[in-house]
Amino acid sequence: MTSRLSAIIFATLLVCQSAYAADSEELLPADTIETMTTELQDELKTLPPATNELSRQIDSVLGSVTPTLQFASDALKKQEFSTVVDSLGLAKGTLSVALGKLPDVSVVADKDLASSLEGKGLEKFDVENVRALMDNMAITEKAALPEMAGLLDRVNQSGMDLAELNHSLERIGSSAENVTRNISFDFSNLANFSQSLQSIINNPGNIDAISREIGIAVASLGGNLKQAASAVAYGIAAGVDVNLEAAAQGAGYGSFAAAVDAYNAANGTSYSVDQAKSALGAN
Amino acid sequence: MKIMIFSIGLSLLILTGCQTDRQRYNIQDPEPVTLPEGLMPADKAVSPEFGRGYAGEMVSMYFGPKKDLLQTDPALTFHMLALFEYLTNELQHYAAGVAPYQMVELIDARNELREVIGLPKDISANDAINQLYSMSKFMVLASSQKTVEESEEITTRRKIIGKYKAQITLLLKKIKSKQDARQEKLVGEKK
Repeated sequence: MTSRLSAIIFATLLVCQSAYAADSEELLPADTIETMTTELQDELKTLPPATNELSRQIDSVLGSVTPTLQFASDALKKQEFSTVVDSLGLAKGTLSVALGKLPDVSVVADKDLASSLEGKGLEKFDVENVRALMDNMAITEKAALPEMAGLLDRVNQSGMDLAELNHSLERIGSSAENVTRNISFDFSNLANFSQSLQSIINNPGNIDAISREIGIAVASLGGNLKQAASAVAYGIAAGVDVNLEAAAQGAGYGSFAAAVDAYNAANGTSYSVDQAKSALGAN
Repeated sequence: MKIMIFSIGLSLLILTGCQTDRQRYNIQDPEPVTLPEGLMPADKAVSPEFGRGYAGEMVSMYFGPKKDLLQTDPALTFHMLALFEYLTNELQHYAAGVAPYQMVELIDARNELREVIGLPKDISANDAINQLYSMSKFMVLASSQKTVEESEEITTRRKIIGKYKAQITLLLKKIKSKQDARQEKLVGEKK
């Protein structure tokens, strides 16, 4: 009787312990990349027909990214994280190259923008806040990327067939080496833009019962909020770069060259436009 | 022997039961925050009760039925993220009446958001709210720009590339985060 009681108490304690283990590590689900790959394949089927050479070239690149993602998916199932990171990095760089081949969608300047920067819309502390956030975005982005040195060799050694990828890259006048350079493009872009923000502010011309119920209702959404958070995050990741580019132009940098000049002025550097592009991996 | 085991078990059970749920789940009191002007209507910012209500309504709506709007409007997204940070902080107040296990889920969701956005995990609620809201204002400026129109054929392809590049970026960040967590755990175990 006593031993049965002890067992019950022990079991109760175990249950309590596991229930309170809120910090247990949740691994990345093994089918995460597979699901994404399937979605990509489905979306590719619904693309409007390619009527020009550029669209055909882009379709070829998108088609070659799929096997890279499938390779990453297989590696994830085997918990080979370094291979997952290498192959995902390669896929990301390939998409960056493809994006770079699309026509530049320059923004049309808004005449109200300059005045909104002159204190009405954005204060000095806002610029500092934005800069702090962008610096962290760049650091996080950089930390998550694969090690560039020897990336292609490692990918080859891990068994991935790069023939299709190389072929599609050749079609758009690029190469696997360009891809490795483009992998780091986004964080460089964020970091450099964050630096040049400073020159914007340096240039005067630029610049209970109800709540309780609602609170409980929101709190009960916990799991759903996580899903919503992921969905929102995709939107942010996809939209931030585009909007920052637009903001850069609207904030007085009518061109990339102007932004480079501002960067040089703010940081005492003397990059030429070509050097800056090269540094950003855009060449 | 059996009596000893029984006594130890009973003692442990009693000791475990002495902690409040807030202590067990490590729910802290809200951090003090200075709300940026414009984050919420002035009449809602006068007290935490009104503020929680407003932020709760907005977050419920834009993280729920209207979440598609966030994916096409970065300015609105950053505004809602700032309100979500505010809400998660304020709901930790005992008076908000949120069950600790629910609060843990909310804090997990907030931490996940911080992770994918690029906010440091240990940033203060005040800094997080202010940085996100400033970024929202900055994005308003960007959103006021008009882009040159292009054919649907190219636009669709541009969107697909952007979408999957973003998803891959987020996956890479998550993997990095898992690796860091594992590393920290290993170091902790060695100590």
